[in-house]
Amino acid sequence: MNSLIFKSITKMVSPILMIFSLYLLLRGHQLPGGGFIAGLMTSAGFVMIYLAYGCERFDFKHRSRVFYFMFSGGLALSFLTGLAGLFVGGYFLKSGVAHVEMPLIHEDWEFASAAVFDIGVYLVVCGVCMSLMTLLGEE
Amino acid sequence: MTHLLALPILIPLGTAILLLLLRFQPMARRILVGISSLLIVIVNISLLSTIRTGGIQSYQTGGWAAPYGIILVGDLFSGILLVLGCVIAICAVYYSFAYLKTDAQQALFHALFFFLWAGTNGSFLTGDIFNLFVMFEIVLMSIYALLTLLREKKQIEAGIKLISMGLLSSALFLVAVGGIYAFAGTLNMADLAVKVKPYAHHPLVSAVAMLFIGVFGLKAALMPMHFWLPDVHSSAPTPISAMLSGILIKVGVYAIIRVFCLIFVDLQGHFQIFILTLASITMFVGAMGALAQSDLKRVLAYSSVSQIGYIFMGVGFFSVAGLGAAIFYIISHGIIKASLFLAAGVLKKMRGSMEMSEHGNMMKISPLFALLFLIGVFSLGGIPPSSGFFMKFQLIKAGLDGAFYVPVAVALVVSLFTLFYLVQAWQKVCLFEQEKAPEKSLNLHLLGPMGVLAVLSLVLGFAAAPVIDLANAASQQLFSPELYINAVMGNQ
Repeated sequence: MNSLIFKSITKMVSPILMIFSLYLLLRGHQLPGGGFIAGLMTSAGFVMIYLAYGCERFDFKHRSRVFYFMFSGGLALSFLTGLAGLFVGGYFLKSGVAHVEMPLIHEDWEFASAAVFDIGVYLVVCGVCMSLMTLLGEE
Repeated sequence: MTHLLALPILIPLGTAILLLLLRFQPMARRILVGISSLLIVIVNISLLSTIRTGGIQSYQTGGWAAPYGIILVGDLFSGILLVLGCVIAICAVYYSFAYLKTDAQQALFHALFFFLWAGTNGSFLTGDIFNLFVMFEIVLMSIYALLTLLREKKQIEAGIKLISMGLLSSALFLVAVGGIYAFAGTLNMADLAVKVKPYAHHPLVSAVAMLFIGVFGLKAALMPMHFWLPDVHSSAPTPISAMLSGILIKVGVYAIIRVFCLIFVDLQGHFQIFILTLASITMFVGAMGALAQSDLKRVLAYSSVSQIGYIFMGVGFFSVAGLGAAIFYIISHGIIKASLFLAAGVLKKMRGSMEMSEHGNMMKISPLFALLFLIGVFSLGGIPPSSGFFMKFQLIKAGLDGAFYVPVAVALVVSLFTLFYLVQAWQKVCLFEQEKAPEKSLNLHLLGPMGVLAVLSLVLGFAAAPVIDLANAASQQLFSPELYINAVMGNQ
């Protein structure tokens, strides 16, 4: 596709999509959002780049191994979070929360193990979507 | 050990993920596949013995108590199916090393196979109806990919049929789960059993029960919904055919038994005639289909449809003896049918085709293969002293005790057809003359797992009594749903 309108819109929209998806990812364990939806959003951004520019801006073709290890690594991360729950909390998938007083800004930040699980899901969804896209693009 | 109940899901899942990560290290993958398969077998057997001595076990994932969290429950029935599943799966795994040619195929195959294994074990263990849906999806996703892995033309066609079946059944399953959730406000099966019991004859409950028969019947290939099975089971790679016919169609049967012995206990009488009628038609249609086939794997696939009818007949009696017979039938049929499918794979590797007219002379080429194949044939045909005789005997005895003469008569007539089409297939493959010499010689690594399963079915015949006792104990446990409910809700 070689359309100037689509190319310029992609330049503006895809960074916003990706940053907003990170926001959704990090709040997902408490509020609406989460790894799945964030992963879909990030890959939507990449789909736009792929459709608008092909491989000239970002080499999708030769990154298939990266995408492969992205989703298998993401699966491993989520699984390990579950296992950590088993060894630390006593049950598989048991989640824990830690409150940490941040230096300098003096705010109480909450770190949940569920967020790590979500990051795993995010990587799986991103990796699968991008692999699908490059595979379909090859045909 | 309290985590024992989660291990049958966690080990295959972890193995599958590691196999994905180790895609480019063939040696490490082989070792991992071997170790984890053995580990799963050990875990499943020790789980069954724990359940045998300690009663129904339950496990709360994430530490959330019932009815809010997802509970894993292991009773005797699920324990038996777990052990059956791992016996068939370990043979299929060993077989796959010799069956698949390239390392790239093996890498994907084994990763997907362990996902499939995790899904199967999960559907037997879960105590939550929505989690059952999730486990079914894991099974279906892996099967879609495993079925079309070798990219043969027939497999793509079967893949389309399987996907349409999968989507239809998933959609119906969601509707059914939504319906029961709207009514009872819970998804935990034990909690559902308590909440639905006073309203058993509410029209919505009957409608949901009917939907569940549709969904699980579709998975188990009950008569009007068996359209997808012959294509899928016959064109899948052979180790997967063995898994499909050996254990995966039984997942549907398991779900129907679980749902009707726990949630819809009071509706058993309403659906009895319906299930028995469908079961009788399924037996007959499957056997007629098998008679008309010239492709050995299609004969076996149609025979699976017919045998599912027998199992549903045992379920439809809704008596302790009938269900016990059905459970024994599931065990015995799983082992025999897996062995027969693996035998078909041995033949396919020798001549590259599944048409029986292109085979022959196996009696001269390998008498051992002919003998092992004959054990499977006689076993499924119901010739004593094989386990196939006891599975049919138990079933028919239970039917006569309950005075269900029509289904019993159909079962007896159909079993004659079964023996006929199987012996005919054996004759064509082993006795008939074939001028063309086979392209490849017999692979002993393929013959091994098939022989193990065939001998196992014979051993199961000689040592039928303890297994029948176990099946009857499982059936007894299924008919006292309060045991299950207490095990889940009691440990809050």
